[in-house]
Amino acid sequence: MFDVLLTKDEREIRDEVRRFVRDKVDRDLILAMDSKTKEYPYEFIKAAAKENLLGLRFPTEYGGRGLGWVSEMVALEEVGVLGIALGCAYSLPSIVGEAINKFGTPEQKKEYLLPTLQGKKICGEGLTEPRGGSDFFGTNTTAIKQGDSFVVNGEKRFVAGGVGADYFLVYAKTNFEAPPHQSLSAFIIDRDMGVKVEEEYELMGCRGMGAARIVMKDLEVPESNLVGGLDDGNSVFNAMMVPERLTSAAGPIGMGRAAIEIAVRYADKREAFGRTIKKFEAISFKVADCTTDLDAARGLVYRAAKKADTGEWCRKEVSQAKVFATEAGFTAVHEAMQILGGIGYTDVYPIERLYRDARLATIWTGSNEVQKLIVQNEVFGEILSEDRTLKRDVELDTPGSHKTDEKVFTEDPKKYYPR
Amino acid sequence: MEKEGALVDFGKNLISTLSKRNIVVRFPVPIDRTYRDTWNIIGTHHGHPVRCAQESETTVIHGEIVGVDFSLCFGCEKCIEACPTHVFDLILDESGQPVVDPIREEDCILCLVCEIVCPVAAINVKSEGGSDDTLNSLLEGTRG
Repeated sequence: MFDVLLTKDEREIRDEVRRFVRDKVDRDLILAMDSKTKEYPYEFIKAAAKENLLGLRFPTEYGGRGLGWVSEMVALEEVGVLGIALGCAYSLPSIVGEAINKFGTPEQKKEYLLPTLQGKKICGEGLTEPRGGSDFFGTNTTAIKQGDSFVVNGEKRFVAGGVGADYFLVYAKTNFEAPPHQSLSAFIIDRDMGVKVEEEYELMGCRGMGAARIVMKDLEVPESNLVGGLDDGNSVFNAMMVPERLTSAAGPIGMGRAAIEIAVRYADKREAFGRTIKKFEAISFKVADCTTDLDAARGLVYRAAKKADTGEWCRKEVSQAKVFATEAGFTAVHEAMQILGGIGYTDVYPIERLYRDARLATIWTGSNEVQKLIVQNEVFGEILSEDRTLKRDVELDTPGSHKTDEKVFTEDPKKYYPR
Repeated sequence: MEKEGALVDFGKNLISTLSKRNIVVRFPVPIDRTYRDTWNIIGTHHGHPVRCAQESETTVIHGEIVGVDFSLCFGCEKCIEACPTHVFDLILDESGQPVVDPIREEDCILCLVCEIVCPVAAINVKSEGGSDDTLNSLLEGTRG
């Protein structure tokens, strides 16, 4: 249904990933992860790597396919139907890979990016700390230069792959004088360097991804593991946030789509009051609203992806897509459950699992509230800096537009004080 | 219901009064977190300020970085056991009651474990200043 916006290559990759998701992902893996009997979906990563489906955007020499962002979004939506955990597993090579591909040394690309996309090394990222995730630039973890190494101390929370990953992309404070955006640096830290797991989180959804709190105490990290410039973690962060948030956006579209498809089939057969329940607008309008929102979400995601392909600053578009798509995805799952009624609340249908999964999407990778802070900041900047002479001055198209005394924006609070 | 409400109010007032009179009340009336701005400094003790509430000269809070309300603390020493940097020592207050004093408050690493373990919420650790600069970094990105 979105074929009109996709190129032939993009449609082909969609169909390829759709087949992979249909044929190569064992149902038992999903159930084991959700029932907490599976630590990390290694086999899924290996299967996706075998089909050369990880990190589609990256150069072929490092294991990618050199495709564009839209292709990856299309792929993510298909993987998204498996739930948020496998969507996360599929996204991490793209997120961590972005940092290494864009800022890493040739050695780092060979030693980390290539084996990651080959499914031989599992990556994770450490951004959120116990003190918070939204206030990223308030990072407390430190890395102090000592000879040819950095000594890293700190903790990261909610690390997917905290149990399971071979290495982590971690941000730490390296400059204690400069302003926050010039004070952090990004590092590749191998688990074997001494990363400890101190808490494995029991999650509402997104299970089986080894979400944990990791602790780094006096870790010696070679200088060669610095990613990008010293004190320039800001650039790495901003680059990484594009795949981080776009993958977060595209996955829930798949979850919402899958749930609505189940609900549509159910409503087409389930009867009440002598007719199928799809005959009731209270049911059918939910389908209309949710699919419209999911399509709008796709539109926003593809638009952001196309802008990301240009290499231009795309933060507003990415954040808009993240907010809208995660909310559309969650709402679709929520309404699908309502359409199924009580049976949708049981494990007879997978909607309850998708519900628990989709709830996370509005929280992680920068909460939707943080995304809205970003969006408004970009929009105020755009509108207030534009040349007003290039557009019609619509403000004048009203009879009272000359009443400048009525256009009051501020007033001296002491205006009427006795003198 | 009205009677119950009146009873609760009476109880709260009583506890508040007792607390202000420096009579140990083992009831969660938390330390006044605004004390650094609203209480008067009446002296110093081992390098940290001692403040008292405007309405009661007998209710004192010791400490600037780590504040301990002496009217609440009853010297259970949980904070002494928990603090990783040994900020606290047990002392006797003017009335001879055991209390913990933030005697090495400059060693505090702001981990807040003392606030968490204190059963009567007698401790308040100074939070760090505003983070407008980190918010601006987040919003402005590379253009910050």
